[in-house]
Amino acid sequence: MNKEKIVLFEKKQECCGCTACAAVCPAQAVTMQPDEEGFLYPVINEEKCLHCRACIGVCPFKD
Amino acid sequence: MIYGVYAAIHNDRNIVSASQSGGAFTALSDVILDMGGVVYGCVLDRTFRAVHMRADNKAQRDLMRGSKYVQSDLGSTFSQIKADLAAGRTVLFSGTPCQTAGLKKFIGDKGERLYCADIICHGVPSPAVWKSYLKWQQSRKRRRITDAVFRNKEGHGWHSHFERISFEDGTEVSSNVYANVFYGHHPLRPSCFSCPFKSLERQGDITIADCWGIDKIAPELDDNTGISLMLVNSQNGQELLDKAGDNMVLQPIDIENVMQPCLKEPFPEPEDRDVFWQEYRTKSFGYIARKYGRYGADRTPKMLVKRAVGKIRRIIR
Repeated sequence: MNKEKIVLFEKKQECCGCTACAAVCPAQAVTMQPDEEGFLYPVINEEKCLHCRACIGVCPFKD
Repeated sequence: MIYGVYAAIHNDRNIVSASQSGGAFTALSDVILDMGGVVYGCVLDRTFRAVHMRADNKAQRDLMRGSKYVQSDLGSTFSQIKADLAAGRTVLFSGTPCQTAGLKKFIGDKGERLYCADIICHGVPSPAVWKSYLKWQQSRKRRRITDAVFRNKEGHGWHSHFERISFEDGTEVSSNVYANVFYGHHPLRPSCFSCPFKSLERQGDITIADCWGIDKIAPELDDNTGISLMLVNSQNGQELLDKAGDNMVLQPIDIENVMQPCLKEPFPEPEDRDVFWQEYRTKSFGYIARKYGRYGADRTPKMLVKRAVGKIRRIIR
């Protein structure tokens, strides 16, 4: 499996905070955390991440 | 594809009063609850934070009525819905188009019993700004807040946009400071300015919203108590509406007559969005309220003179 670090979004404009990535993660490696503006964004715990890319596949901003 | 467009008013006037528009969400969710299903929607919790909750009865569902002008915290809603569907329950989810899109992608082909009602979304403001606003109202009043309503239709009519904050001593504040800050678009989430869902290609089986523009085409329906707009976007949506339709007056309308900016394209990002956030972080909320919320705009020297002249005129008349 590709062990490349998963990037859910490069710019904040590319994440609506819908939680699908956090819900789909089989390792519970994705948690929603507030940024300095108070919006929730997914943060990947690299130690738990299986690099399965399920989070990328479920993102509604990646079509 | 759009199956149908309707102006909708619930037959029960009490439900219309308790709803933001014409009671469409109540009519749809009643169908789901009556068949033993569960409903997910946004409520304000005890600390006035917008969160998604699960309802399996009407009392819990009733808390989901009324628009919230702040992004909700979905928590583990998506996983709960997956579990409900796996247990054979019928589910109605209501939320923003992007939340609905994420949910549908997450549930995938296991969603035969999942119904989605998305709203026509203007954009979601930061929960932090909403919290700061409430803190500011509380500190001005020096009383604990006991209730908060984003759009007080009761006091000002459906067409207006004033928030109502209630305090422990029974007093209330009617204000449009938060509404003004919201309509400036500075506190909206960055993704709202490139939202791919602001179109007639809807995410929900049914889209619910305020039926703005109805006063131009069917003024007889508009007594300023509230009318829902319903877009039926799928066969599932049509089936749901067929069952809910008995409880509403449904008037088919032409989408062209009720088009809203948020069905066309996202708003541009304000050029001074960074300035807003810089000021939000470094200055008091009173400053934000004055600059972006037009707080005190009726207390400028010019307005005070105008008011005084008006008063004197009335006295000497």
